[in-house]
Amino acid sequence: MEKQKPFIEMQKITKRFPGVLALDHVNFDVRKGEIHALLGENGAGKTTLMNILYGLYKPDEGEIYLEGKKADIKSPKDAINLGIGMVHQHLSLVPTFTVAENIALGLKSDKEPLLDLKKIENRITELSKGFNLEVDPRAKVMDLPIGVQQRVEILKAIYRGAKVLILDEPTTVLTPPETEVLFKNLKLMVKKGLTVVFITHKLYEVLKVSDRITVLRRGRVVGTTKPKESREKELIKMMVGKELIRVHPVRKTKTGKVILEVKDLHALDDRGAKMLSGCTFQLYEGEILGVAGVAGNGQSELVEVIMGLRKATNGRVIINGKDMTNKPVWEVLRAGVSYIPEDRVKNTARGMSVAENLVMYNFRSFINKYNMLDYNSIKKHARNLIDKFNIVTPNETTPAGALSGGNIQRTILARALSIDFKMLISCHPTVGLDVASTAFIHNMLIKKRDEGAAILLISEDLDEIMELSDRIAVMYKGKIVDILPRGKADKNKIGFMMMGAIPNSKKVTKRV
Amino acid sequence: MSLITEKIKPSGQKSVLMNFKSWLREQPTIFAKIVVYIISVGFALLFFSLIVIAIGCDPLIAFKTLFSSSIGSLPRLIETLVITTPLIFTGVAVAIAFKINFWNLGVEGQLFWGAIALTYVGIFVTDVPPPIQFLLGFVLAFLMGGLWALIPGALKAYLRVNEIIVSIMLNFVTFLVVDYLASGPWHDPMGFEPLTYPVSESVTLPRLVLGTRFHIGLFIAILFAFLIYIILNKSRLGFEIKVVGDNAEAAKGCGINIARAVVLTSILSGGIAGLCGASEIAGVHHRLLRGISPGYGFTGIIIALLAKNHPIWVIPVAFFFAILLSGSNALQRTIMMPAGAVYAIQAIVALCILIPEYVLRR
Amino acid sequence: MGDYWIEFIAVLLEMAFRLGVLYIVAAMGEVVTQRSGIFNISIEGIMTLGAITSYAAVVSTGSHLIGFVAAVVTGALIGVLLGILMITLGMDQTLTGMLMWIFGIGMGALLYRVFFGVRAVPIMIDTMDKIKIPVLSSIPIIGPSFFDQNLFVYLAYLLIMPLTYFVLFKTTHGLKIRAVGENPRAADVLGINVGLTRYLTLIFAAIMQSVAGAYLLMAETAVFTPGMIGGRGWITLQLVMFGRWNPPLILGGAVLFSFIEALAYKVQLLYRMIPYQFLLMMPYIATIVTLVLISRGAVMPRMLGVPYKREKSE
Repeated sequence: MEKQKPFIEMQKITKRFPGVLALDHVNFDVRKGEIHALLGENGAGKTTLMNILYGLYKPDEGEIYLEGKKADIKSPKDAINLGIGMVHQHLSLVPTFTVAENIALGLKSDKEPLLDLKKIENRITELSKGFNLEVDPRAKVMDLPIGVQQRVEILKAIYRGAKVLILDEPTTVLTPPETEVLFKNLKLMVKKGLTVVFITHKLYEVLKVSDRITVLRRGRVVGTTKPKESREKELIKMMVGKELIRVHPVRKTKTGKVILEVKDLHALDDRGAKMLSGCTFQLYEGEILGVAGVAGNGQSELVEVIMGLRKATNGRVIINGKDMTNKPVWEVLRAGVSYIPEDRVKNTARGMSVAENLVMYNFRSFINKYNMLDYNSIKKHARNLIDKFNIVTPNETTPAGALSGGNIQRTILARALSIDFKMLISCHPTVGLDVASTAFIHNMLIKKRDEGAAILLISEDLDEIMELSDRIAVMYKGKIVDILPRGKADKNKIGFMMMGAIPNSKKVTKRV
Repeated sequence: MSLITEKIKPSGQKSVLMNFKSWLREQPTIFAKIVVYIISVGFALLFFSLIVIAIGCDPLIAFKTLFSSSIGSLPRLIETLVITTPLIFTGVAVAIAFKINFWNLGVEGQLFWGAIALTYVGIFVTDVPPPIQFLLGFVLAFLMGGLWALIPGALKAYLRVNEIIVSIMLNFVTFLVVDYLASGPWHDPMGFEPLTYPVSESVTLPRLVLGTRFHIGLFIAILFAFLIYIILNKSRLGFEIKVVGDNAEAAKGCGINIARAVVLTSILSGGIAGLCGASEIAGVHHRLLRGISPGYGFTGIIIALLAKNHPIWVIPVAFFFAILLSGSNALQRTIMMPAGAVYAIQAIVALCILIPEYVLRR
Repeated sequence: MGDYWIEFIAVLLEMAFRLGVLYIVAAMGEVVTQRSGIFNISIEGIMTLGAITSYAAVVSTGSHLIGFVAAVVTGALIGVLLGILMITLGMDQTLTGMLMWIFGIGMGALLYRVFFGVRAVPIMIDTMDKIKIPVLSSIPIIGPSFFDQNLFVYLAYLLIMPLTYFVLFKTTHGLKIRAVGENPRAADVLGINVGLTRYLTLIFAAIMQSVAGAYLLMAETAVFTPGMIGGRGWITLQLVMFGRWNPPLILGGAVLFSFIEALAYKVQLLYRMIPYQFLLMMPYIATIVTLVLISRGAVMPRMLGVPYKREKSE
């Protein structure tokens, strides 16, 4: 086969951040009209590399060539002018603007300085039909589901004449069927002359849709290959450096009594939209109940209501037999519930010491007879936890903000797991973590389950849910669509339920 | 169970240690720190000199006057200590509020309400034994100050109303009330300006050094600074305050009642400010007038900022600003420097101390 | 008797429209910068500085125009300084605003002393002339109260406010400004310079607020006194919230508050038995009450007050 000249060539790209060498003399090239996957685990440097291509970062060393000519990309503006477009993992749209306004942002209008939204809306409709990315230009972005928002982001790039489209982990916010649609669309774009680079850490996607795969590990290119030429096992080895054998956890203990009962729960989100509309399920001692679903179907609200962080407008939350609906948070904690929150940074007091962060759930139990906090025992307790959970920190009085992301996550984890609980709510526990940390957390969860705790696992990572859960519930539009036992769950079925399709079997499985 | 053939190491242990070490390395060198601070102190001095020259005087003389009149001799040093007292009070009051992100800019007003309370007790509640009157005055001062701060505090805690605007509006209201009382119902007909009747002997703070205005208020202030420090760092409320101030979301998630913490803090903050006002009346002026505070509440804000909201550090910073204030009082007399100018100087000094921190971060 | 009331209202309206200009000009500046995510609380200080510099300019040249120019220059300089502190250095906006407020008030007194020395009797300047608009000023009530005002009043109501509204909501620049305030990352990713945008809005706000202070001097007080702004900078801050960051609503709020101020003043003159202090309190208490009423459901620019930094990924 004739060797094509590269369309984009990145040579010897090196990038340093304080304390971290993110990219180490990376060579990366993209051929015209291909779908090139950038594969690697979290922290490998994929997003950093593409951010450099898109002008958000400047490389410390290295050069970029576009069609043979040296390109000096100092800002996203330069990148856009060169025909490079990027859709980031966390969508960067203005929620209160309409689709048209978002796409028009930063563009010169024909009637400068007047905004000419009409013209933009028409062009959007044209483009969206052509690329199978149907969208209503006048809709407000915050009213749109995430899958549609992603289409807007893609249109944003295409509207600006992007010849290369970079997608950063596009499938994290999509259900399996939506992912299929996306892949179809990518192939359509390529037919229309676009080139696609897409960043992912999911192997099967890569094998499914890409023409070439480049694997990054800890800032270095491990190799570039084609899907036909490699198998999953080899790719994993390239990504992680070792063989990973995945074995499904075997359940040892039997499930016990009902710990949590959620009955017909209704709740609104901050804007007053209905997010929970009659959610009902039970959670038993000694099981992991995974809740699958696309973000935005009420999972966050469900957790918040159970914990007492959000008001339930209707329905009941019964914990261990007691009605805990709309009770304050500390009462819920006292009832034996622990909670690993979704956003670790949002839940760390970065200016306070690691020790203080570790006791944030149970500081009240360290009060001595003078109604003062016994800092000596707090510190001792903290040292214990630091050791047990392998938190890397100079000592327990270091401000939590000085810790690396992974260690902050461990601190939050330690905090949640070090109190006496009968029930643990764990939200997206391994987002953004590398394989080693992820495994650590998974092992912890299983251990606790084996000790008899009830675990409610909320995650957008279907693989994680399927690997850990004893039963899998699917949440759609604020309701639990169905709960399947481990044996009966397969990805497709769940995928369709995540989109709202009700399965044939009406009965909700209670116990195995 | 997920099996991994290699033993799991904690999250990139090597890279984390490297993280910390090179974070340290990337910290500004001592040399850089010294240079930046010298430049900014130099700038502050330059600014001061420019002002003095503009008024038509010699900056060196002005500088000398500033220091000699504030700490140049023992009596003057003692007078500076008299000014330090209210500054410690207000600095601490602001510090504890800022710790929980309660922007209490109404300290000036709360101070006056404490003064009003003490004056009231001092003038009108005369048929109780003196020790009781004394205690009542101060307790009432704390309560009134606390209540006045509770208005923005509760509004912020329960209705999420912006406390900056509310507390400043309440300042203006307070000034008018003081004006009214001092020229109206409580006005002393034997005085020219608006001021009230003198308070009775029993509510005065004893003088420590005869012939000066130095009263025991200073020690009460220092005592409260330590008290607040202990509350902040050893008590349950203090823990809650620190968490809420650091990350309110995290606090909520741990079951801390944010509204309660804000309300309690506001009462504490206003109460201390109230004590300040009481101390000024009982120790210095012995009657209520608009002039008992030339803006101690606002200087307190700057003090708290520079002391990084640490109650104990407020003490030396307050002393430093007392030097500034007392020195500029002298300058007002000698070179006719306007009263308000000292605020510009305070602001510049604060900026000059705070900016280097941010510059060094880059 | 009805005539008396009509005249009373007309007089109040006249005062209200006149006083309202201060709020409108300052608020238009503030709304633009708040829409871009900057929470500038130093309004009171900037107004004071604008007042003193224009005072000095008018006293020395006798021209109101030069006075306004002086205020514009002052505002621009302050805007740049604030920008350096808040944007380039990333200092906390509330902190910076507080310091600039204290600085502004102090500098006002200081500059007065520097320019004018110590005087027993301050120099009074001529206030701005009124311009009567022929036909329109004969309309009952509205006529004499609105169409017989100084030039700046017309500018503020008929030009400054509509222009601000137009730019914010109908132009590409306004779109950029609002995006920067709602989701700066979205703007950054499209190549919009977030920092520069905020600098520009901040400078605009400082200029407007400085000019507002100058207006108060040249149209109302005619002399400079250190406390002349009297809390109106803070009331402006509240007006922006009251008007939900929407210029026409802010204008309505400005007139309303000026009306209250005028009312308090007039009532004080009429009913001397009420201690004047309590009437002077009215605008401040009204501000608090309005804040309480509107605090539910106020939708502010999402990233108001948060400095923007490009975050590192992975």
